[in-house]
Amino acid sequence: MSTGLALPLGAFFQAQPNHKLNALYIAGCLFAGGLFIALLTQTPKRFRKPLIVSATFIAGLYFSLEFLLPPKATAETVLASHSPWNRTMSALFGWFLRPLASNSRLAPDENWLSLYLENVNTVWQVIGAFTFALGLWNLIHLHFRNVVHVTKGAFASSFFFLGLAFMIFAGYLKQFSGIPDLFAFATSGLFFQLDAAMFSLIAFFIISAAYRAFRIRSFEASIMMAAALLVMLSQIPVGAWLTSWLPDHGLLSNLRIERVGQWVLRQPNAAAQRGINFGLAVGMLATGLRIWLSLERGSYFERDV
Amino acid sequence: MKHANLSVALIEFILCFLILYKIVSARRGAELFIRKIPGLQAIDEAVGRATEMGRAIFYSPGIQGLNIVGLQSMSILSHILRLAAKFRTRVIVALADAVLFTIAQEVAREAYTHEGTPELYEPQDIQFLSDQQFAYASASVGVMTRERVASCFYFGNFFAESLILAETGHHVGAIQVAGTPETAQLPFFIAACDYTIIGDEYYAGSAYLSKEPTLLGSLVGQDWAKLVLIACVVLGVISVTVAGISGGTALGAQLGLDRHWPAALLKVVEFFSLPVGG
Amino acid sequence: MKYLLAIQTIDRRIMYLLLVVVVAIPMFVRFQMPTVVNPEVQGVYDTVEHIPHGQIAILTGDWGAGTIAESQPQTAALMTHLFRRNIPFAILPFAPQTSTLMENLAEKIAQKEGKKYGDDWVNWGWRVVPLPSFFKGLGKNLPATVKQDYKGVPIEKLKAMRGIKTIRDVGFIAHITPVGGISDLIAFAHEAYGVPLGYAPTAVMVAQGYDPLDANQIVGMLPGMVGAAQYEKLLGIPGNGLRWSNSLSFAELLMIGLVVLANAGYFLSRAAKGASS
Repeated sequence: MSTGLALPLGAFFQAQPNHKLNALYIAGCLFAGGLFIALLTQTPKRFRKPLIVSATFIAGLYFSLEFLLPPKATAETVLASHSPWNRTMSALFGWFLRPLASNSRLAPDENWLSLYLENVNTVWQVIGAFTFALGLWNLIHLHFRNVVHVTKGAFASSFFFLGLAFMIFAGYLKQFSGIPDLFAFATSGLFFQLDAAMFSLIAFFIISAAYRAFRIRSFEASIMMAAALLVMLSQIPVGAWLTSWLPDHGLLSNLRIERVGQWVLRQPNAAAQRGINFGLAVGMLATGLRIWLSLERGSYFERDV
Repeated sequence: MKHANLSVALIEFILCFLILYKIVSARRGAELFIRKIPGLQAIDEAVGRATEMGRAIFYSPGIQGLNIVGLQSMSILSHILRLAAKFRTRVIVALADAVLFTIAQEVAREAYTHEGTPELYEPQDIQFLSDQQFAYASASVGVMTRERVASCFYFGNFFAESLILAETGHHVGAIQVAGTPETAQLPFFIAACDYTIIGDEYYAGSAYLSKEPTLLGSLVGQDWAKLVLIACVVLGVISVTVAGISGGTALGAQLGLDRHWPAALLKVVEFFSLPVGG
Repeated sequence: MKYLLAIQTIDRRIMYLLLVVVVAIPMFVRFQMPTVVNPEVQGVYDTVEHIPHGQIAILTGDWGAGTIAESQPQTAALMTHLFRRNIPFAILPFAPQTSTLMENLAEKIAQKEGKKYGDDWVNWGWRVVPLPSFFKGLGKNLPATVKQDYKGVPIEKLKAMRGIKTIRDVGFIAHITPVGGISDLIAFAHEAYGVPLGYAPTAVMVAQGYDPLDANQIVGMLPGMVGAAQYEKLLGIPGNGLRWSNSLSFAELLMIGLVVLANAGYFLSRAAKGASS
């Protein structure tokens, strides 16, 4: 693989504020992007699925190989070692390890593919940036319809347009007229407070949910409730106060509520979390594998698109 | 961890092989058994209830974007949409990510087309609400309350907003089914929802619902992969204990264990005790 | 029987009202309940206490106004400790709101501690970057990766960043968050470069933190507001954490009381039914 491609590509992707050719770059990228999208939409239906399958496979292959191939430091260690295992590895894979170890452009923790990681991530960010407009468009579309058709949510929807116009105006004032007060009012004064109010609802909902759910109807429910009460008590000063008469050291100190709570969190809880995480990781691997190889028979891969 | 070491590469290869092997055998017609998952069975019940009551269904794929969890959520959404299309029941999908939003639109369009009811597809029911956590929660609560939804489904990555959504669903009298890989949110869903799918049952969802051989094979492959991991954990514990007794502790040295273990076993110990990282 | 049924079906509005009362009272009546410091909080404190001079700390976060009651005392306690130890720190926000909130907080604490922006702390500004490549960049060349602070000043010109060449000059990273995400930092900062990690999640995310804590992938944790209160106790500065944790204690006691009440009603009504049948 040629590493000569990395520099020009890297330079192209590097943000260069106030560069004289920036306007040209932006215009060129917009044109290229538009052309690309136009070509995609004009692609005959029978070619679309193979196109998606190939693109998915190549992208997945890149990330898999970048992770699985050894970095420069490993190549150097294997080549320099005299252990029988590493000598065998050198004999078998020397053709691959030698150029990797001698490449001066690579950092110890990089292989050839690592050089392009940042560029690949930049492409992903650019795609993500396009979707921002998509989200905004959907919001406008949805709320406009609500307002025009005077649906149940029309009143709430009208606030979307008010908010949008207000934020644009406040941002404009802050950026171009140097008047930050209105923007600060909109963010710190309104948005931050509304956000905090929504989060505080959790406190109310936790009370009603716990009251409803924690009934000792079965043995399992009893264990769950006992554990919940112990952990709750262990997290608050009152809990510590309740068993503060127990000694700080020695066998009996293990019965202090804060220690029992710690034990529940650090032993059974951590073990359960780890067990669940093992299952989740394997599930994620299997789903990722199916998507990478286009084996997923979900709606987005099954039929012609 | 930036690059796989030998242990990780080997274990990953074995896991992938097992999953792919089971997929291939399932596609060739092998009979595979999967146990009942009550939470997933409840999906049909929840859709049926919404149909009976003539009210809408609410679906939330969480607040994170396009990743494996999000795609799995889209797969479950597809099943719910098809089921709802059969009974001509309205499904409102609330999204917090613009990329997932476009996929959800596509999934909905195809689900209705597949059931022969493309006219039921209503683009306005697939809603991008906000990418801000609590703005999304607030907007979702608004939708649930205004529409008096009969059933709520939460499948995806949820954080602090989980309880806000689930308690609102409870207050409007909806039957609720939830599933999330975020273990910290499971207690809230368990407390507030009627059915909660735990851990890797989340990834079993699409297989269980569709009975598609590829997905069933993958699910059984996952179980085999988990068995391999359990074996690795057990071997790892034994190896590290052996390494500790034989060489790493004064007791081991006193007993002379470090001199008696065969070289092959020490290799095993070394393999399972390798630190992670390049 | 009527009363037994009533305590099992208390109207949620009554519960909400009670909650408002028990949360509000400690805010007006000043008192301090005893606080016991958990080992995970002590772990973070000890690590910050031993950051060598010449290294910096990074405070990352993605919290917003929604979780200000928990995340702000956590951040404030860590900032105060770093200021007092004269360890410069960098704010690395992963959300636009976090940048403003953390910067305002640093300004406020700096005034009390007599510290100055640029000399004692810097704000790298909101980053929309994939974590793997960003941390990789920090590992290679930190100034070239960060480039400038949130005001557009090249970071080489800031005193706090002098002599900081790579992530190996970072002695501690704390992640203050309402949505987890510590696993990414474990992979790309701790496992890759061995930087000690501290975790400051909101209370609802705490359970997830004990797994990496047990595996020594993080040095410690500040579990929600309670963690902040315990850290303040270690620092000897009663702040919002200690003050607000009184409200938290009362709220949790109310919850425990309601659960016990409901269960008592449930049991007694079952016993009464059994006796009558």
